[in-house]
Amino acid sequence: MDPWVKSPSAAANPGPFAEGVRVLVLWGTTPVEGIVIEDRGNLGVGGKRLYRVRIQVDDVSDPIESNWPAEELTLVAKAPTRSRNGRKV
Amino acid sequence: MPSLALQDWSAGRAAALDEIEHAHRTVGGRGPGRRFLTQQINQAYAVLLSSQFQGFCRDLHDVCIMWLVASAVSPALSAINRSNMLFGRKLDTGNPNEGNIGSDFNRFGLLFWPAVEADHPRNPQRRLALENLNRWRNAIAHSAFAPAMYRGDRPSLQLSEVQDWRRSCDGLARSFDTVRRAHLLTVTGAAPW
Repeated sequence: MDPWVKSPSAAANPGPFAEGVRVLVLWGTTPVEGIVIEDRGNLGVGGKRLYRVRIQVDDVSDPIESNWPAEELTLVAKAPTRSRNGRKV
Repeated sequence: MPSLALQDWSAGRAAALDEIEHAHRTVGGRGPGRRFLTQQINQAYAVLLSSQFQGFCRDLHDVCIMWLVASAVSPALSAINRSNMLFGRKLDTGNPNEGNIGSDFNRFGLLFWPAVEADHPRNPQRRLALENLNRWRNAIAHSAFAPAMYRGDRPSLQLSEVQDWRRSCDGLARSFDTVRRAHLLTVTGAAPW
């Protein structure tokens, strides 16, 4: 995503989930793991925080990206960080 | 009160665009005379304006989706509707041209551009200005300039042209916000913002 397209208010006031963290969301009634790909800011009803999350529901179909309110996300793992030599840790 | 998307457009996004106007003044000054050093700044300004307007449109689309699906009878149905409204959204990857904007906003059950044009007498001209902005945006990003974009031996974009496009985007943003608010009020029976 072009950084100039992203919400400036979201960047100025980061929400509870960083881009790259793994989260659990409900796909219908099934919990599915996904990755937060964008903090969309407080665009939800009543100013709720929204996140763009990419999920892969099976091995054969394309990934699905959708928005979830922060309170519907459960943290699974933090985003990998990079060491000084650039390797993911 | 405007939507959060329009508030962002008028505050954070406007501030980012003001920064590049400031850079233009710093390099080129305010006095009369031809400026040779500011052409790249003018072109960067056009690309950034297009990006910021794309961001505004995308934010407004998200706000509308969230309001529309909030009335679903269950969280599961809400999530399904949300995902389908977002599936293949043009504004996630494409320029904010009239085709992409129309394709995405028509999904809400309203013929978007006729409603926008009816909202303000200047909107047909603003729509043309937006198309012109996106033509320049593509030409700059892909370094593929049409002959009409040349003055002399190189492409030339004036600051005043970008400023005109920005005023058109301002007007369209206000109309988009008004049109979507009125339509959501009609469909859901409650004012979204």
